[in-house]
Amino acid sequence: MPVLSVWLLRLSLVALLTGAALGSWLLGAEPWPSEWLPRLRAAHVYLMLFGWLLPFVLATAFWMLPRHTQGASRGSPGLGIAGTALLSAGTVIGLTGALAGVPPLWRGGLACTVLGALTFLRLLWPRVRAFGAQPTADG
Amino acid sequence: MPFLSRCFIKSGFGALALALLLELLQLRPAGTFLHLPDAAVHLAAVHLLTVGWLLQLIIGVAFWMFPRHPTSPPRGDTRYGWWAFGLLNAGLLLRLLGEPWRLGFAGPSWPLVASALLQLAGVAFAITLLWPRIRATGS
Repeated sequence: MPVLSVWLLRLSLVALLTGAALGSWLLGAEPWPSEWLPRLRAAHVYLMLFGWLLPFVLATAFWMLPRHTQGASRGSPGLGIAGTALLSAGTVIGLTGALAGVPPLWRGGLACTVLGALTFLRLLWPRVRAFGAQPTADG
Repeated sequence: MPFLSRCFIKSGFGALALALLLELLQLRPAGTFLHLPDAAVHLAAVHLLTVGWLLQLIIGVAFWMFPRHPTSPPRGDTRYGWWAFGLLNAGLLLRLLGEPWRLGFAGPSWPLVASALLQLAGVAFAITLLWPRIRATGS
């Protein structure tokens, strides 16, 4: 398993635990309204979608999809590092924005997440291929 | 495929089928099942899809395919996995019953609190099982 996948998978499991803890708090505290509940709900949804599910799936695909036979086996290392950094930053910034109730921060986190996901899609796209096909690193 | 993975994956498919049925239930003719609030049905369907289906499918496949330990047992201590399986499904079931009960029939909130704790504990056990297997391996 490549180091980038290790990093993203561990980040996503931390996000899963944090998101599940927030969700549990919301479910248990449902009968007692608070001004914090909308923020916690936004943070819960953000973590579960963009902190847990998206990085976990992308990291697993980065690890498991067929590798290139020429050049870097999993595509450009620089793009991989950039995608990982963007997804990680997106999780932290988006969570902070949701909890603080600051929409621009939340949107900034979401923008980082989208850019990170697109970076990974650029890396993964040429690796989705039929058995026996021999793509190059540039697809 | 190990037995624990098969249980997680089949339970996930069951949750998917149930979630789709609940989505259909929201299309019921006006005036039927008046005491069944749409909010409870919708929340139950969403959590059956995300926790019941996606999370269990991911745990099942990850337990099966993540890099194995060089020492025995190769996939880690399966007791953590069984605890995760039991707690997650018990928590989901309790939520499926507790939420319509509380929202539609003014039922107590303790089933939701218990459901929250059970699901959080289930997630923690699943992470305990998978975390050591997320590690860099030779390419």
